[in-house]
Amino acid sequence: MAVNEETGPGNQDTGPGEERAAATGGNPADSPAEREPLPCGRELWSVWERWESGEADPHAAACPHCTEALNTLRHLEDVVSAARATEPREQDTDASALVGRVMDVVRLELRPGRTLPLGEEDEDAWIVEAAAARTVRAAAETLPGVRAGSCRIEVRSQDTDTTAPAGRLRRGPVGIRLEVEAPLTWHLQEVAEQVRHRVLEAAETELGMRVTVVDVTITDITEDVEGRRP
Amino acid sequence: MTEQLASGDLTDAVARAVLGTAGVAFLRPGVAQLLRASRALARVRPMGDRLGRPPRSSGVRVTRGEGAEQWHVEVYVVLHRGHRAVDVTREVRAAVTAAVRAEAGMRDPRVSVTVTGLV
Repeated sequence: MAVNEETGPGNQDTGPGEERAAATGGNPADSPAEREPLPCGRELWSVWERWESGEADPHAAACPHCTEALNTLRHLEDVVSAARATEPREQDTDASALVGRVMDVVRLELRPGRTLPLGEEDEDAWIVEAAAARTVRAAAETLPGVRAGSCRIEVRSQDTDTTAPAGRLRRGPVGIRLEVEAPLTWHLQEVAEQVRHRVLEAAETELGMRVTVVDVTITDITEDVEGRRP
Repeated sequence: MTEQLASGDLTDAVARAVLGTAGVAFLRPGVAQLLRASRALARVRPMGDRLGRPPRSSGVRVTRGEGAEQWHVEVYVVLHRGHRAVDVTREVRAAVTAAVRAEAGMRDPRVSVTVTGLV
């Protein structure tokens, strides 16, 4: 699921008030903010992803730095699980939920994507694209049977009539492009409209992000029997 | 432009102000930093300052351009879900501005707040 594919130079913005110069094609790990090499030169996200995928990784198996990074990752999961177990109010819910949320944060830090404006034009508030995209996808998935895929969010040049001051990121309303899968039970035009409505509502009430357009692409029709229309 | 980093005390005061704001879960954890600071890795790449203190969170950075009067505070935070993100950033800005004024007597610092995650 490609969340943060880059479209070209200038979109690898990763810090408030500072334009990042790097534009490196489709590999998110090439962003300066995401270069977190271990002493052996391997990137953390790469080591973790290969471990999580179950893919054989001879280097990591033999490398003390990668081994330690993976041990620490497992330890982090253990710590979060233990903390989770001490919260009696939530013991009835899915025990892995908190672990998953914390690990999501970990991943977001390593692969944040673009930095997007929050609030009004004259504010200095931002959110990383990966966090905003997660909110957008979750909003779409509140519809029965709908599954969200790739979500790309950016400040569109045609939506801003001002250029950013030197050394600062451009502010303005964003455009969202979201791919979804929907069950056969939905009328496609209707599900697109409903997704658009949910996304706009979440962007306003949960984030405070100004949105000019939500482009919804239905990438697949599923036969999810639970995907009953409300 | 050469930048000056603010004192650790000011940075700590800003961090406390941020963490005291409703809706803030924690400062950007600096997970990579935490991993590097783990015991085994620290033997390879020592972390912290020369006094042996642990590294600060990467969630707060306070700088001043050379000769510039205005300080720039950059805050990176993870928020709790259920709070409107932009509203929390406004509260964070107000708290940081007050902290900088109280700690260093500086008025109207530029405060950039970036939400790096929601939990």
